[in-house]
Amino acid sequence: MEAIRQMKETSRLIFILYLKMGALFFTHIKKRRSEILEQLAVLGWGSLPVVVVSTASAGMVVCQEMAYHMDLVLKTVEMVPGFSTQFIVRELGVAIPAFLLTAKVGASITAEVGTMKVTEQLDALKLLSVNPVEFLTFPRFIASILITTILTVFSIAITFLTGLLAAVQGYSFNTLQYITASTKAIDEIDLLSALVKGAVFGSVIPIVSCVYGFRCKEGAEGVGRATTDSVVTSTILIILLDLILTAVFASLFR
Amino acid sequence: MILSLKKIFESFGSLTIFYGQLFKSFMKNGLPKGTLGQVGYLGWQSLGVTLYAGLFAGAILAIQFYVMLSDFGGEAMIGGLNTSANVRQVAPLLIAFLLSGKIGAFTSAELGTMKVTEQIDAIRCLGIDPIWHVVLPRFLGMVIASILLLTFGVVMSVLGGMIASSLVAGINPLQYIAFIPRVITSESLISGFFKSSVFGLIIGGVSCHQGISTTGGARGVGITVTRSAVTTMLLIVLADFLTSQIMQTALKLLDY
Repeated sequence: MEAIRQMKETSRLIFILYLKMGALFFTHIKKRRSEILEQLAVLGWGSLPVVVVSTASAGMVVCQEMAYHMDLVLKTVEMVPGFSTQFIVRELGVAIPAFLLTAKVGASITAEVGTMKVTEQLDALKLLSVNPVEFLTFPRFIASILITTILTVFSIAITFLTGLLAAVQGYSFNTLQYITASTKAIDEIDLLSALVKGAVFGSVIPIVSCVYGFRCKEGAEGVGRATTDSVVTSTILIILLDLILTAVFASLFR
Repeated sequence: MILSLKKIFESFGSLTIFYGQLFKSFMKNGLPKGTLGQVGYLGWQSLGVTLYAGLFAGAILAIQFYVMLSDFGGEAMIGGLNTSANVRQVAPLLIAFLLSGKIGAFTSAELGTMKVTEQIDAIRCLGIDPIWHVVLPRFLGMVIASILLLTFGVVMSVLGGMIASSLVAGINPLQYIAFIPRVITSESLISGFFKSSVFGLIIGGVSCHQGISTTGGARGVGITVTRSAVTTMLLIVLADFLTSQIMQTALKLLDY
């Protein structure tokens, strides 16, 4: 019962913060420019190496797995370029950076805001009549959407390249042939779906993290607890939204 | 650049030493008390989330395969392909991501709080080995619980794929199941299980290591949790690649 009550409370806060962000977008985007730029640098540059390394290895794995399954079912690896590129653009190149950013960006936002709450810095901000939502959440919200979208494009490119490498090296594809087959397999809707998914996942992360950060309980235990909960909730929400968006875009293809 | 590379090597080295310490302590003193309790506690609190993630992983992949294969009229193959891809790759990876947040970050927060509130030092003052009494039960509990949960999640992903493909693609569940045995081989199952075990070891080791090397107060715990979640996810993706290579090479050596 307690869990359900908390879930209700959290989803209400997430909803309110989303509305607030929408309202602030029109009034505060210029005012908070310097904070947004700072967050872009801090969050984006810090996450770049992690995303690059992990998506590079994921690309090779996806190519090998595709080849294995195609060989098993169709007895040919001819379709590998098209299928693996489709899979990378539609799903993998978007989901893996989103999960990594949940841990990297989301957890660090919750830890930061939670520490501010515990050490009463949030109260000090309120005392100075600075609204914490405008000052802390809004710049991170905008920065996170931009970062996730940009890193999604990055990771799709890297995953594609390492997949290409694995295919050329392991299954004797011609590079040109691979690229031609890949470009035939995807269309504008696929790219659009990747960008939309990236932006939506990017908007989930700071909102959930700030909700848990603002409600952080006293002491070191409270901060640890809030950070854990925020990572789990963001991951759950991202999986749910991924399914919904996948279904929506899949029905758009027909 | 050089500095951060040095840092990466340092943390990798200390993680390896930590695994060695845990192994030595296990060999010397045997199974610690409370391991089963940890398995039950961690397993029970993450069961719902894992089942949910497995269900959705299967569903997402089924829709993706449907969109890909429907151009070629290969809808009948979705069941087998989806199950095989989930067992071998997708479900272990996705669920391990979730568990690194749920189990891993939880335990590193717990150990980190114990460290910064000097409870670990108090235990050491009493002449009790904190590695065997505090860390090892959590490590073993996490490893066993994650392997069990990953197995449950993979089973759920089959169900999720079945539901999604019958809803979206209109595939009869019986037809879905009928194609599974033709694609799933024992090597796929072994590969999936091997991957899950490696992921479990990574989640357990990294989060315990990060937990007991926490410094500073509330801020330190926050940093620890972040670092443990990031390191676990990064190592899981890298281990995914490495285990694929190892399995391929091993199977080749066995076959030929």
